[in-house]
Amino acid sequence: MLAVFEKEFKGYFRSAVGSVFIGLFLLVSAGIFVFGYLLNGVVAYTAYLSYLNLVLMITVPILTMKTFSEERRTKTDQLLLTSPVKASEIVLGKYFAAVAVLFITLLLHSLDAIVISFFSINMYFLDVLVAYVGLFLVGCAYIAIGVFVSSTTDNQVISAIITFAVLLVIYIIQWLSTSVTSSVTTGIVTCAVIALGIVVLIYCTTRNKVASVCTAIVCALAIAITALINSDIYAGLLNSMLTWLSLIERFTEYLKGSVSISSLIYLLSLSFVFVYMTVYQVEKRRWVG
Amino acid sequence: MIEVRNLTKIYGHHHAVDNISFKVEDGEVLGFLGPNGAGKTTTMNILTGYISATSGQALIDGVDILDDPEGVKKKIGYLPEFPPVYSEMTVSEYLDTVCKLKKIKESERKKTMEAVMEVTRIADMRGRLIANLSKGYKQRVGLAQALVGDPKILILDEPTVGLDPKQIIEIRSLIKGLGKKHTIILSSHVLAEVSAVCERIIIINKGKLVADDTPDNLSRQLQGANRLQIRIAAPEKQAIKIIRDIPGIVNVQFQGSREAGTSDLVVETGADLDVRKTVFNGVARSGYPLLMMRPLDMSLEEIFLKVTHLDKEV
Ligand SMILES: Nc1ncnc2c1ncn2[C@@H]1O[C@H](COP(=O)(O)OP(=O)(O)OP(=O)(O)O)[C@@H](O)[C@H]1O
Ligand SMILES: [Mg+2]
Repeated sequence: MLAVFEKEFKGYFRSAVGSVFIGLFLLVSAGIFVFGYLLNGVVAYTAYLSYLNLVLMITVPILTMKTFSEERRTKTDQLLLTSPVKASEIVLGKYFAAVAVLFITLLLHSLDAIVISFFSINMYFLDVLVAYVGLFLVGCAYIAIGVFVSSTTDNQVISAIITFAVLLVIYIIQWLSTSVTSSVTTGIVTCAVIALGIVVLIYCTTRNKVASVCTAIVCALAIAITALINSDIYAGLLNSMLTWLSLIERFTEYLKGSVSISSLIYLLSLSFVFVYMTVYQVEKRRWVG
Repeated sequence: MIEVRNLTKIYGHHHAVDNISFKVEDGEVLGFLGPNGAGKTTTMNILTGYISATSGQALIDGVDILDDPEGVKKKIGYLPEFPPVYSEMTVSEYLDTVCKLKKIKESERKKTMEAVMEVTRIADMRGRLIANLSKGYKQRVGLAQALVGDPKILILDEPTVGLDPKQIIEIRSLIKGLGKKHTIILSSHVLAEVSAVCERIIIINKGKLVADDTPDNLSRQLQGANRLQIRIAAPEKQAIKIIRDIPGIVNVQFQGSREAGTSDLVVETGADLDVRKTVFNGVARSGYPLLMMRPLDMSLEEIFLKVTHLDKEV
């Protein structure tokens, strides 16, 4: 894995990608700092850091767009895949290289915080540190998503655009969670949609009509019976689901200076799931061409 | 030893490789011959573990690459169709990366790099960015990459494509030299090339294996298709008549007249018949000078037609 990591990490600085990422991130965040924080006199540094999530959404797609797409286009993946290296090592090497670039960027960025702390009285070291950790973990999850998207296409521009779109959807989920109605009907509809999704998934993977129909009936009954017995369960269900799903919600916890095990696990497992899916994608490609 | 059993690769409904089986003994140099789209690259990609077969097996020293990918990949050096080089690296950075990927011990890395650069004659280029190298040098860097770690087996996909004639001769003799210690499979479009380097030739066409033999045997089989191109200083009608009168000729085709007052003809003879002497004598008797006579090389397509045809006869 180290060989891939080293190659990728150095690669970020051989090509412009690494420098562009760092430069863009620092530049945009400096802009936000000056216009949103200094000029408006916002007090909490962590409030400023919350905007950096948006900066990550724009810059991470650039960082990850090439990881697999470019290798596939130039057929250099033939070297990696015919070397005595596991697919998981290749994926992890690439993932951690991007994570390392992010880490350096945030380290550089935190110099701001150190400078500011000399002039600011209400800046708590621990809060800021936790906020940075949160930002880093969110960035790691974004990178995992970007690397996965990159492994599905050999066009780096498409890779960047899709990654950005996915991150945007994640952002919107958070926004939706506060704006959808919390009525019982919404809850029931949500459950029905999820049940339908499960049935379709079962049908697509097994092609078994009987099993799919049975699952559908069981789900429908379960939803109906629950609704009859205690319909209050459905009230606000969609909202809490979206909140649970929302990555931003987790991030906000960090900005408030608190780290819960559950959000730590949530962010780490998001990374893990996408890294795992990338490994699967790389392996699968060998079979289907 | 490489053993391929009933290898098949299907893309959609297209059989890129169709039930191919063959064996390569240790130290053998095998030529893989076939026209565009024959399935050479696909077969090599399967052998090296880049893609998987739809069905069938590829065994290296008795081990399926799917059972022990790392172990098997260590034994193989692969030069793909497009050399997998990173253009933003210099030659030595690239080879260093390759050494690390191939898990060469740190203490031996320098020696390995020097050795492969020496063999492929790219030592002068070590500091150059690969992006700025010519096609031929990129090909050499690709070859150097395949040689890293001195693998037992070398799989080379059209190793001489893009090289100038002098380099082609160099690379061929290099491959011949390597063949003493390595098992080599190399692919090519050119019969002359594989005949020059290989002890055995496999011909595939449209995914199917159509011949598996030594170069000598193959060319003996192929000699039946005798075709001569001749130029006679005579007008078309006379020229054709002269040739028609020579026994053993089955077909005459007029090809035009490149020099004033001459005719170019393609003459086909029956199987296993060398008519060069009779053609010469016949034309001489007619009083018209014979300006040129040369045997026509068969195109690859014709070779395949011929070989497939022979297969049916047997
Ligand atoms: N990824 C793919 N998807 C679909 N078809 C493919 C794919 N790769 C190869 N093929 C098809 O498989 C067939 C064999 O291709 P292959 O590259 O092995 O031929 P080749 O013998 O190497 O030809 P060439 O001499 O042009 O290099 C071709 O018809 C090609 O179109
Ligand atoms: Mg090919």
